[in-house]
Amino acid sequence: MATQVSADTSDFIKNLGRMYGTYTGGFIGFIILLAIFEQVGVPNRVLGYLFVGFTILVYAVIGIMTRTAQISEYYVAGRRVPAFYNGMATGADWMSAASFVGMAGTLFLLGYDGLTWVLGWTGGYVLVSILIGPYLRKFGAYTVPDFMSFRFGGNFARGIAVIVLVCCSFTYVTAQVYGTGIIASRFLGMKFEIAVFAGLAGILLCSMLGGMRAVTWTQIAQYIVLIIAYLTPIVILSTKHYGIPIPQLTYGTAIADITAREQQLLATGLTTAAALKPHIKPFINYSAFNFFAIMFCMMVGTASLPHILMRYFTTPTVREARQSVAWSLFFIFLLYFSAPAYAAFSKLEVYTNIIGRDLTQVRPWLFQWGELGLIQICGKPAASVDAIVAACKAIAGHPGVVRLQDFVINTDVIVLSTPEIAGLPYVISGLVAAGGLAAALSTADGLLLAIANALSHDVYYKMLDPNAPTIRRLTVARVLLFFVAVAAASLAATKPGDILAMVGWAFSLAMAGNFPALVMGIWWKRTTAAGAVAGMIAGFGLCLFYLLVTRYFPGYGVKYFGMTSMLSPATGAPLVDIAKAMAAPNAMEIWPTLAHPLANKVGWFNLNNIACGLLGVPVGFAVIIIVSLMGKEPSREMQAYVDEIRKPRGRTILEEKT
Amino acid sequence: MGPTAVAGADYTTCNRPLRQNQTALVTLRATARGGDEPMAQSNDEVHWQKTTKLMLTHLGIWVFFGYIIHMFVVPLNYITIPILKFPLGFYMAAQGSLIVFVVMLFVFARQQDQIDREHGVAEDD
Repeated sequence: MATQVSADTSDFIKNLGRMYGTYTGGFIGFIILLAIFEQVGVPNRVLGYLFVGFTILVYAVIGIMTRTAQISEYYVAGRRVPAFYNGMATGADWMSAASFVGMAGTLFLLGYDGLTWVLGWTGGYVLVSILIGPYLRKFGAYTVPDFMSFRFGGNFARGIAVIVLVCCSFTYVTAQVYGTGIIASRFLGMKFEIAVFAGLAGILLCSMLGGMRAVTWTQIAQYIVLIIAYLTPIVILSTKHYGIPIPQLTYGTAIADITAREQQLLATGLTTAAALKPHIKPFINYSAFNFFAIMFCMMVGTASLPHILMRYFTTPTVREARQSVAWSLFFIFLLYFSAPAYAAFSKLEVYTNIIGRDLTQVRPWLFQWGELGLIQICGKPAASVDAIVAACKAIAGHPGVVRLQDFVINTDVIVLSTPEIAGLPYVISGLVAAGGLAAALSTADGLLLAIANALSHDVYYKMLDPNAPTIRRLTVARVLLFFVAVAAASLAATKPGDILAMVGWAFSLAMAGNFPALVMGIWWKRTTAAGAVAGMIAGFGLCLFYLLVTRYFPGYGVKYFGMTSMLSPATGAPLVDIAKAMAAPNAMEIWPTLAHPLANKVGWFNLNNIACGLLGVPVGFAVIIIVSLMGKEPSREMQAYVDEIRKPRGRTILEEKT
Repeated sequence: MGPTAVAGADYTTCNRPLRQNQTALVTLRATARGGDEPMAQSNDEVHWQKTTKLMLTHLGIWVFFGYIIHMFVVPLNYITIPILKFPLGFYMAAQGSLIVFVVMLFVFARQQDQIDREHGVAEDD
């Protein structure tokens, strides 16, 4: 029986290349088929449904075919995912709706300063590989809290690790479900609130049945869809404009053109020095300090996020875990080094074909987005020529041509509108929608799985009922998965706000809670249980405190904790007049909306609250070192285990009963 | 530790078949259980020293390409890459550092594996 199973598996692994090769070919064939449908007059709405419906169906079929009821398959995919494929799955796990749809838009708006996110979301993999990932693989955990519990004296450390995990993953997953809702509502014309729950059904189909195993093989399929969808429009655009199908090289010319055009706009009075933010000029949207602080937090956060670390528990060996981190970053890199090209091409199009044009002459692609309110000209949605002419007439002394300051674009539009800017058929737009959906679904799958595993394995099995039989553990995992997902969708349906900020908070929380304890647990044998627990509480607590006070209790921050106004990155002047804001009747309001004059605008050291992990991590390290040195050195036995973690050879420390 | 079977006693049961040229490893692995023999300890120590040194080297490269080079973005932007027309400071943040990170990770995986093999603590192929 055992040999039968392993023979099946090795066949399965050997055939991976052919399976996913066929799948990729099939997907391209499907795109061509839909392109033919479009030519013979099938309406766009139907094409959109076919694209989204077909891809979700494929993910669901893969999820059902690879479902499992075996514990080690459920939690770590049987530890036999080859490095290359695990890299692809991690890529899909990593790249979310925020990366796929939002990143290029952020770069469009922020120019150079947006690159803090590109750097921050790639450089962290260096830390994963050299400091943490391979050692956790050798340790043999199912979840990150497993390691904390073993190394740091049991269930108290486990409990704190679970709290950190749930806080950061839940913040993150809410942003994903929100992204799914936006894409589904825009391309399928569903109501946003309904689209959120429809997207949720797709997410659950993949992750509920087969745990890590099903999620892994589905994520690989999703990576293939998302990378084809992301690269196709700009490759075509680059070929059309520059004759070379490598947009990552040709957009340098676009940037040079943008810079020249910026000067031209200034010279012709189409913009003012105050309104223009030159594309390549650094530190005008974030201060240099915040630029590096955000980057540092995203990098260290990468190495602390449980849903990413657990992907490296699935490789067959420690050696492959390391290779797999390299492949992960390679697959992520393919998308991230293309995002600035999207931003540059879009910006050049806007600067040459919209700004400076007569109101009646602007390019018609923008009206579709104007109707949705995503592009505004002269303060009103740019739904048609008549609408923008009417809106601009209302402005005294308007010259009748679009000025830079008249034009407002929602960041989500950049990637989604590129096919139309390039004059491509609708089928490419449908492809991009399918790609965005794949990105959001795959990340949500990974996050929900991390949360459900922590609750079922760590809380239920390890802390509440250590004798629970396998079937009941898996049933609990699935039921919890369902409730967590519904909770996330309910929260997302209320549109809590800015996706990028929410994702940033998740990273900072993860890094403040996990990073010092993980690194010290592996790299310093002298780290004691008391030290690590105290360090986790202090680091995570400080980060959470800063986040909550600056966002939700800003008046109290000023009055009791000596917080001051954030400074404007361009001028260095305070963003708000604290004395005036504190005198206002709503100064001490708690849980205010973003419109509150102080919310997110106060802090210590002019530190953006997205980067609150920067406060938590040093405190975490310091507390771990001080408390550890005050206590007795860990047992000889524990130190021997740490030695074992450091050597790839030999059996894992933790062996689970199956 | 509850139902979790932790190495220790069952550690002896997990030996994988060893090849002829790996006799040296037998001693090493035996001492990994007891952990008292001085020669083996120093081998482990040297392995960990080299690992730490490699870690610090890569951490240094990471700091340089992640942070230090971007601190000089303003002067670097005066340099334009020929043909491609990218300002160098912008290019480093948009692509240059990313390429370094990817290459670095593949190199690291190979170097660490070499260290592991030299000291007989690598996994069987």
